Amino acid sequence: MRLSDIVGHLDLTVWPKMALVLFLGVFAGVTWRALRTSKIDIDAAAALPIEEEGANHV
Amino acid sequence: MTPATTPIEQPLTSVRPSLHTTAGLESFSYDDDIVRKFLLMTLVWGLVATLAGVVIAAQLVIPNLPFDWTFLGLKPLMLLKPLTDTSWLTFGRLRPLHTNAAIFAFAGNAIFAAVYYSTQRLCKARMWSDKLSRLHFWGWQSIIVAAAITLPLGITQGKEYAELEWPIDIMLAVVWLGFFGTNFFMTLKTRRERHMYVALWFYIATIVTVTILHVFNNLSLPFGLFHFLTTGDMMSPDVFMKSYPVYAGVQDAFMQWWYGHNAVAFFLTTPFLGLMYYFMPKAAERPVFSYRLSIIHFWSLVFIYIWAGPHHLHYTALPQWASTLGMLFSVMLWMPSWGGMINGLLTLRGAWHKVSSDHVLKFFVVGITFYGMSTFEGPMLSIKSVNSLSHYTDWTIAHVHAGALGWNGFMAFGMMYWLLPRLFQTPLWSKKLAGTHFWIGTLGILLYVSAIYWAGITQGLMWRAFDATGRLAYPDFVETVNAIQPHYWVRLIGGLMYVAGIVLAGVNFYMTWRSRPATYNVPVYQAPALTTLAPQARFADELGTSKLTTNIEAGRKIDMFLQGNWHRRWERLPLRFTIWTIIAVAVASLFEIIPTFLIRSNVPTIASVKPYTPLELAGRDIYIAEGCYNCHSQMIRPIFAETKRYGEYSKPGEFVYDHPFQWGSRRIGPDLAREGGKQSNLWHYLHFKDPAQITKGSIMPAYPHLLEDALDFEAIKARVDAMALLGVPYANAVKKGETVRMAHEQAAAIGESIAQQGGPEGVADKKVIALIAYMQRLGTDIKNAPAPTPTEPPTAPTQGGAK
Repeated sequence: MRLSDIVGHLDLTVWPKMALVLFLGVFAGVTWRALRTSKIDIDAAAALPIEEEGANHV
Repeated sequence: MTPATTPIEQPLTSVRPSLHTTAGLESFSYDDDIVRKFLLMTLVWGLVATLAGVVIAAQLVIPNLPFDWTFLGLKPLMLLKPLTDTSWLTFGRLRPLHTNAAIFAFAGNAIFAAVYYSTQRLCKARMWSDKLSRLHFWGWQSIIVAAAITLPLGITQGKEYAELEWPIDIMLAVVWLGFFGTNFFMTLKTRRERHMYVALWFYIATIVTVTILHVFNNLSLPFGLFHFLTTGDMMSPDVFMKSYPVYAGVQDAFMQWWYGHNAVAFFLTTPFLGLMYYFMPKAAERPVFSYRLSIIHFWSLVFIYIWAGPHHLHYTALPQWASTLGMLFSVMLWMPSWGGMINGLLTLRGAWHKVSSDHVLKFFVVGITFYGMSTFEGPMLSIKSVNSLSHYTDWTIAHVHAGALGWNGFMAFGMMYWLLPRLFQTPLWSKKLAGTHFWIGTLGILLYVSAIYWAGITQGLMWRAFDATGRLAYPDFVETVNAIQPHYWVRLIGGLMYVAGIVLAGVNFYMTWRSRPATYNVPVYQAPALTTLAPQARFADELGTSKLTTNIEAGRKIDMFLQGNWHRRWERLPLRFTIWTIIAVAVASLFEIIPTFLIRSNVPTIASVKPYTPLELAGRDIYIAEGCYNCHSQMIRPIFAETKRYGEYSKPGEFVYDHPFQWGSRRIGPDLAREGGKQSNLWHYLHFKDPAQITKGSIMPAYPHLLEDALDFEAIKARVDAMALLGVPYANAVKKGETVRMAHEQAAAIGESIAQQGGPEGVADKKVIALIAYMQRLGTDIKNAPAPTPTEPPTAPTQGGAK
């Protein structure tokens, strides 16, 4: 029996549903992580581009 | 101020300072010379790409001009005639030049300008290697020049946006990952800012994903090189550079649109989002609206985008589950895309009044708005019922140009106007001119896309229209082409306006450069190196502290884990972050690719489908070289209007020997999947000579060179050998001397039939004969009775469909 035979017997109609569940898990995790981050850290990160050239000018 | 150098020659007052520590601080400066170089080429290639676009837009209306019109005894319109019948100027060869120039040259250089400027500042570090930066710059420009030479010569892989042949592909991989990627990641490694700002995340995703896409979609067998290595015979340059993809038919289509869709995602979207997240706050002088939203935006986009490719292949021979998966994730993609758009636009909260007077913000606001429009429309077009109307029409072209001209173009120009005074250390020469560029560009885009939306929907509806008796209302394809000629004229005007805007930008660029100081000021900065800090100080907040009062250590550890500080730690670790990005991309890819490649039932074998004869194979390569796939599809969808117009719908098993597949994505001309046997050999001969003489109103270019150029029969053996190596079951045809004999025999038969039908004699050795052989074979196998064994080799050439 070859790998293609095994995969060939899979019911692929469930594939989109599995992918959806997988994504929702990732999405929930990322959202949870983003909301848990402290405001101080978030504000510091967001301010990076508008800091004066990013370092002490000598 | 005396201009002393060209824009790309920087009179450095200080070369890269050696890193030294003063009370824990390191001194460094930024390399803005490389940003100036890339910015200049963004403008140059932007002009080239859009001019090429104007030329090919003109080619769709020029054939119907009255060339004999006389003015003051002259025939001025005859000056445009070469655009309709010059081999290296035909639509099929120039359209890939236009798309490649727009994507890789214009957008590519804009991306690099953005990355080199922002990465250094976000990392508080000069690029790791000035030498790699220069190798990247000159290597990339060399690739573009190589593309500009080879594509008009018909040297192409025949896969959209992946047309470049293997030597250029290898060069591209080396320059992209070896020079650019290495330099970028080493800069991240040696950075002095702990947190990697979200723009850097988008750049990381761009670099790793484009590498994966490029490598796997371009796996091919370079048969000219293979022939040289095995026989020592060096063939002509065009044959030497030719290759066949290792994938065929459905699998090749799947790989191609996995690549094609994600090239849009990771070359035209993620790096421009990185650009937006850096330059929009700069221009608005306030931080991004929500950094939390940008985190969700990034991961959702990276995770979802890669699944959506199959929506380019609805109703084709692609398996249904893959098509549904692509549609589902495309619709889901709408949310993160709009999250990003909202985040970009709301960065202007409290500063909207600046937009009316700030030309940079004008470009950014319209650019982001076009991003929002395109990313709403994309998911809508991926819905199967909508796609059944839009696919193969100009609707897709309008969608693409709203994104390319509006989103990519305007974000690039907004960045350019923001950078010009900073890079050349002098005020922008004319803000008024920049404002004029904005308005003429915006009107140009609106004119362009409005006309082409109208054209696409009109033609799509005409294709599926039936009269009261149940017959096609517009049975002649050319009727539907002629109906949208006025729209094509409006598109041409819109395109010219957009080009005019770029010319104005060029004037502003040049005049600003002229006002630059004789010597650029190169500021030196100081910051502590991350590695010089004690580990406790570097990652003081990594573990966090638990607020729980419990004495159970496990509970405290869980609480600390749930605070998410571990995530912040690996956000700062480029390698780990990159690995997670690769995993996000790879999981989605493998979810779709493994079943597509491993399930044999996806591509049911059709016993009567045989490999192309040697002459047909040579003809197929001419079809590819001429870029016929740019105007003709070879995929009849199971839609009544299509089967009525073209014949039986296409089956996956019909394409098992198609390296590469040639399904196409736009029908400027009719589908050719069942073209074999519909017309006589003489009809095809005369049609290639001058299509308008055969089909009144046709806008197809003439191919007189195919009637004159001799076919290289000796090279056919190398083509057949390569196909055999890829698994195409040739047997007799690969025996020594047999290939060429078979090709001559079939060519003689077709040449004779043309002469018998009243055509010219002595044409059997011309390229057009091979192309006719291929045309007559298309879609005919399925009509033949099943052969005794599925792998029986072709023992005799088919005779074509002579009537």
